[in-house]
Amino acid sequence: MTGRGSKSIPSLLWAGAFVTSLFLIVPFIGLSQRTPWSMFFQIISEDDVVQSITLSLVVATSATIICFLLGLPLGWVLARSQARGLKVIRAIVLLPMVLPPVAGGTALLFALGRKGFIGEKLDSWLGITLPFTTAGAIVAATFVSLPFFVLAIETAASQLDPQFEESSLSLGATPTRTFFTTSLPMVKSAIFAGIALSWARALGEFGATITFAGDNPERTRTLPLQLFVALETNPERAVVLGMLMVVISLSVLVALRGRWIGTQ
Amino acid sequence: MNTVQLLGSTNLEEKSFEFSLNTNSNKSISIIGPNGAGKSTLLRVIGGHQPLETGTLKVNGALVDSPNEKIFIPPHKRHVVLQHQNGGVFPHLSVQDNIAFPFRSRKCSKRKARLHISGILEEFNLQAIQTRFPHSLSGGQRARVALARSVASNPDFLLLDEPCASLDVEATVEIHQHLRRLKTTLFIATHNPVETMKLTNYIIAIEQGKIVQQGNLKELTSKPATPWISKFLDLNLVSGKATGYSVELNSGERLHLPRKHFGPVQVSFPSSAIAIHTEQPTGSPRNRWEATVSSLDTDGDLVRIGLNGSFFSRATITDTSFKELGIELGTHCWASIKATELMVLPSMDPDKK
Amino acid sequence: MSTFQNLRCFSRLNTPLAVFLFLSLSCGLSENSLHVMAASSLTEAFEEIAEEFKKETQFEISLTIAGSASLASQIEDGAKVDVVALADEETMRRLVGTRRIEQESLRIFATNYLVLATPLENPGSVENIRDLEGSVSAICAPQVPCGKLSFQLATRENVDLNPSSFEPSVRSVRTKIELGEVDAGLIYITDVNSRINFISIDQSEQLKTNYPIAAIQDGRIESTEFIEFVLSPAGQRILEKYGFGVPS
Repeated sequence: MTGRGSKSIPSLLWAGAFVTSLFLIVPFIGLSQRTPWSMFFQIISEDDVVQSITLSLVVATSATIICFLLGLPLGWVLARSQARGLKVIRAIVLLPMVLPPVAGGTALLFALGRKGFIGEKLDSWLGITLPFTTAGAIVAATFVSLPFFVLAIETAASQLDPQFEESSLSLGATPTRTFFTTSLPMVKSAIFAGIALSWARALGEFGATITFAGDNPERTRTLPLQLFVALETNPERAVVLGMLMVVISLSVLVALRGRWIGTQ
Repeated sequence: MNTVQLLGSTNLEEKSFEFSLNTNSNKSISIIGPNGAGKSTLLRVIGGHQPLETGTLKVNGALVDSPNEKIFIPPHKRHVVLQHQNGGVFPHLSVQDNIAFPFRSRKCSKRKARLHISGILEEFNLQAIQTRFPHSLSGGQRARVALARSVASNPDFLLLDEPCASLDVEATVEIHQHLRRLKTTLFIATHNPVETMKLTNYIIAIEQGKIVQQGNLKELTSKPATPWISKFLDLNLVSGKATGYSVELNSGERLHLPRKHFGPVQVSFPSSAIAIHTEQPTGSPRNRWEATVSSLDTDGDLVRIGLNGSFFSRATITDTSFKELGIELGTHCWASIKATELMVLPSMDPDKK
Repeated sequence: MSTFQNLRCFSRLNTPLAVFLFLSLSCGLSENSLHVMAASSLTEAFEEIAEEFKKETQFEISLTIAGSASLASQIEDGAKVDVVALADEETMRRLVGTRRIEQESLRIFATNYLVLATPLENPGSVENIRDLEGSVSAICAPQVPCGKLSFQLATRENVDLNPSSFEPSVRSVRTKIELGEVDAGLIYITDVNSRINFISIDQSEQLKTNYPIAAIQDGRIESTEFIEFVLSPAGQRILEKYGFGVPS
């Protein structure tokens, strides 16, 4: 099955790839079949669904902005510094990626919940509680998406040819100026890829949100939570919401077009 | 007076380097040596991208690097520009923004910067491509942009790491033209002996992380400290105007070329290619000229002979042949070389050497 | 190497894999095992019942615990199960409507009622159900039995339930209270433990909920035996131990 002039791929790998693709595509075919397309727009215009959509967009976008502000310095330092403690920091930063989201949410609860060791102080000194608020949902979403952004930046920063930054310094630009005028523009595509991945991940976050921020219809019931509720009370709506999230995520991925981690 | 005084050592990836140099007031210095010897490292030390572990570095009398005294002036504060091998031209900026970069780094407004660079754009023939981006330029064009940008920064020293390594012959010649015009003091790390001989008057030779010899061309060619140096500088270089199969040298002498060339050219040939005769030679070599022996240096089994004729050249013959010839200082003799041994390169304008 | 040769190699490698898969699947369908689904409020009670049942009959019980609504959805979608025990009759009625239940086996086996719960220190100074209105509280989501009962109770008491969070199960309400993340919540009397403080609600017992149990169509014949055990004095003793009420 090798085309003329294409690199020869063993037919065994073609077979494996085919099976895997089926495995991944079949659930979406199932979902698509069950989606009541004629009622699609009607269902997503229902008040509480619209509220969830808005909430999801707000939470995902806010979380992504925070990921950018927090993730950029961390990713950069991880890529460039030889300081000793960093290996540990790196492992911890990637933890939310492999940790079951509910576990992440639980950890957040113990740290930032009303009785959490930091949350307690937040509550008594500043009167701020995070659980059951949109801010809490944003924290949960940020927690799980941050590793994606950090990883994207770290990869790009470590692959950046040092000659450009050195030239910039040599020509008289201070390290700060070099960072903003030379380094950052050169990792632009990695930044965009990181933003897109974080946004998509934040949009789909469920376990940490429901555990830490709880299910509050006005303030924390994002699309995944709305779907969870709908599964038991309104299966038709659940299917539509599922399809809606597939459509949104698919658009993000198509827009990325394979530029996953900043390599072109 | 632009000087560099360096006496120190540094380590890079488990290789150690020890440098001891004083450039006095030479204006163009080449750094030669085999691959991995430490040419780039030396440039990086001077540029501030590689700190010293021990010792001191003084640029124009000012101490810029001294680990003992905890002094280290970072690269952006030194008036020294290090130009990397591929130029380091920023891919995300247009040609004019690349060249304006040093001005913008000094907080010049965009408008002012553009004014400053118009002269440089003209100087380096870049007006036609000033809005283009590096990925759409040829290697030679990019090299010009890199050089223009470095010059725009107006440094005391310009450190060039093999500036013509990846360029074709024409682009190389063009860059050499620009380099020769520059008034800035140049340090050029190079693996091209022609570049060394044409552009610089002071040479620093590095092997295995240490400076093994430094001096002017004459010193290094007559008394090379290592076999590598002697092999590297073993090149005779003359210029002239070619008209087909023959070239008229600046001295008036005519040489026959292996292929047709036209216009100003550079002719080079190794010292081993010259044959010495005590009488006017016959035979196939079409290039013959008269000369007097001006210097004799023994180097193991070989003898290096300086020949003063209508143009100066160096010949290397075996000790045995030398003894058989029976020549000595001041002896009048004939030199010959086959046309096929001549290497010919175009040059932009006749070089006045 | 031709494709055919490749596939042969592949299948040779796969024999041990196939055997492994077959064995692991079979283990899930072992001969002596009854699949029982139970609502989350029945967790500890049914675990003990399952143990006792095994001692008596040598039958393994494979217990699946989840919220009643979730269990019902799974059964509707065709889950292979033998017995189902839910926390409210409405959910069971829904299942009966799908004809997956053997109607003759349907019985009420226990009752339960709601109490008000607060963290041990009662930071919100909650004293009665009316105090729920202004406090940070967690209530079961309305689609689960505990939630339905909570809203019924609230309507009867004229209280406007506006919780900070709707939890997917009564246990997660309890957890939020235990952790002190909320000041109050409504949970079953059977879910009270030593880590929280509970306050009885006047006449809440009148609004008690009946727990139904039934066998699934085409399930194992041992299902009947299990249901009988649950209804037997032995089974009822265990349920009472955990705070459940006797069916009338």
